[in-house]
Amino acid sequence: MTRKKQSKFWPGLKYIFGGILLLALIQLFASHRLATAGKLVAEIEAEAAVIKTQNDYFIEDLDRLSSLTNISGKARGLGFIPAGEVLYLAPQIPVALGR
Amino acid sequence: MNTSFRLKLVLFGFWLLFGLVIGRLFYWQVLEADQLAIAALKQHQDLKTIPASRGRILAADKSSLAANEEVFLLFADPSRLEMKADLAAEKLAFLLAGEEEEAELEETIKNRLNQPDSLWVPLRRQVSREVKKTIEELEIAGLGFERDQKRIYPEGTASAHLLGFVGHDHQGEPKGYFGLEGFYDLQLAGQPGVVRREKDASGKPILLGFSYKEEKKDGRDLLTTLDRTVQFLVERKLKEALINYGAVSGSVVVMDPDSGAILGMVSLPAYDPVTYFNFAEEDFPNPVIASSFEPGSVFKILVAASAVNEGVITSETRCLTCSGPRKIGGFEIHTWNDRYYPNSTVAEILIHSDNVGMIFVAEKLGRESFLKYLKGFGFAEPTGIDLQEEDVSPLRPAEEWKEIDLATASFGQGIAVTPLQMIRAAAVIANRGWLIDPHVVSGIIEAGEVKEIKNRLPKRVLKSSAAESVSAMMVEAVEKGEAKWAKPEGFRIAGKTGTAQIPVEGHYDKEKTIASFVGFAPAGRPRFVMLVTLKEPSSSPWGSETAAPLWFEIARELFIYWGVMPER
Repeated sequence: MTRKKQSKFWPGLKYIFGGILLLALIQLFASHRLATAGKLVAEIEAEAAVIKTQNDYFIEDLDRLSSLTNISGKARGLGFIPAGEVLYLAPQIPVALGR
Repeated sequence: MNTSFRLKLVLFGFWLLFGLVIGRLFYWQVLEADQLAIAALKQHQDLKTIPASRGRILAADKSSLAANEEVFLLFADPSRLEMKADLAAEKLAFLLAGEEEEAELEETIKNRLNQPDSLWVPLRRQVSREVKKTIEELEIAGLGFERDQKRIYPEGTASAHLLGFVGHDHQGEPKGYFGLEGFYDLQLAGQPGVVRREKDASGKPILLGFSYKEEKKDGRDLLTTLDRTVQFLVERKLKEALINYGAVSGSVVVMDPDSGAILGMVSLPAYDPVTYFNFAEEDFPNPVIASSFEPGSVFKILVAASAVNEGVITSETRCLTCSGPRKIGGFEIHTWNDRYYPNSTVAEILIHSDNVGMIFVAEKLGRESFLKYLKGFGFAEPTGIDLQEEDVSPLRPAEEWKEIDLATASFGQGIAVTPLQMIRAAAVIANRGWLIDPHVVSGIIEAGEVKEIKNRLPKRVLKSSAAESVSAMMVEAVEKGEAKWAKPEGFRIAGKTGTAQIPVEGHYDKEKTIASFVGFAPAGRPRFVMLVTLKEPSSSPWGSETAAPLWFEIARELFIYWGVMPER
């Protein structure tokens, strides 16, 4: 091949090789970031576990506090007593509506 | 020794060494390959089991009847323990045990901590998070905690027979027994998940490496038909009644007569499902579904309904054999108070709870029809309710029924039914003739969506007119019968008292009874049907003086709760 023909091809090849090298470097960089992101993932997972546990605790507390056993005990403590006589104020229901 | 021999000797040595190396390689890479692969996996891969939570059991308003609480297993690594075992055991026992078992627990912990060669010893299960925090504050090196779950029942022991409990199977895995926990164990259990991935030397995950994940499947939640307010007030009233009437035990069932939805079901005495292991095995079966009893006079409404449906009697039919005791098959049958009402109507027979009158009705019906209606009302088979361990008494075959059997069965003796079978049959009258399937669970919740459980279509047992006729007679029985003194004013309640003698070793005990009351209200458009049974009430053996007043007391509360207005 003559020097003239070599000079036509060589600049093109330079760019191609340059591009490949750049992509390789980018891939290396990205892989490195990904490979060492395990620490971050572990931290996030640990945080998520803590939040989930706290959420479970809230649900447990809600179950206990909203139970009728607990509410009736608290009500007694506040001085509430069972209703005595019930007085119905509404007028007598018409026969047609009663059925 | 010539050179050739020495060369051969050296060559032999090389071949021998070579063979040893190959053999060793063969041993490690072929024979021990699996073991090495597992060891390598353990070193390079992290395997975590993600435990599944057991599904909750919810009341109709989605409040929890059975839920999970996080607890911990306290363990120790004796080789890393820095504190003296005696001192550590004393401190831990004080925090972990009640007064009674503190000394015993301290001894147990001390013995376990005195095993320096052990790397892991369990010290205490089901440690609450509050106690865990206090132990962590002690900063005793060598202690650790493993997460675990404990089943809790926020509404207490009221629903023990209904809910069942969670124990362990032979492999130590959690398993539900009795009630809903047992019947729906597969749906409630869930499946643990698995995460397997490559890790680096410090144990952190390598994202580009091998990764495998199987998601855990938490147990499904059950949505029940139970109204926790009804359950709560029924339990409170029944507890008071057992004390007031001196009864050995009792049960109350409240059901929607149209759908068969169980709104409340309580049996006392109950057991604590959390500490079920402290109770005897015979405490676990639910008496409402697993204990048969002779129903007594409450059964009369069904016999009357059958005869009216067959057209052999009406409410105005007069009894021609009611002037005195009846002699049948060598037995003499009396009324409960030895009072007789000649020519009484069927309505009056129910008002007076007249045994002799009921024999008349049963004879009009005939044995074949009587047995046909027994099957129609569902007494020949279990109800199929979604609770584990339902157990019913089989009906005797037709050929074994003698004249005396028909006579005694007409007033509910000589026949054994469960309370659930009885209330299901009474609901046929309440809902104008349909046999429904009682059930506790209305749907299963998965991924936030409720999948409804469909029940079988109801079966027509009575004509609507027959049911209405008997309903009217039951209203009169309440208005004019022995329990009228306890009835809430202004409400039309259809009901019947029952006082059944208890069979003991082939004869009936003269003192002991099962007092009961079954009814529904408001009679015109029933909101609920309820059965109350009290076993061996000592204050009075009669249903009209024990079970009926209890029924009316609960009904008063239900009327207020549901906003049911008096009709007059």
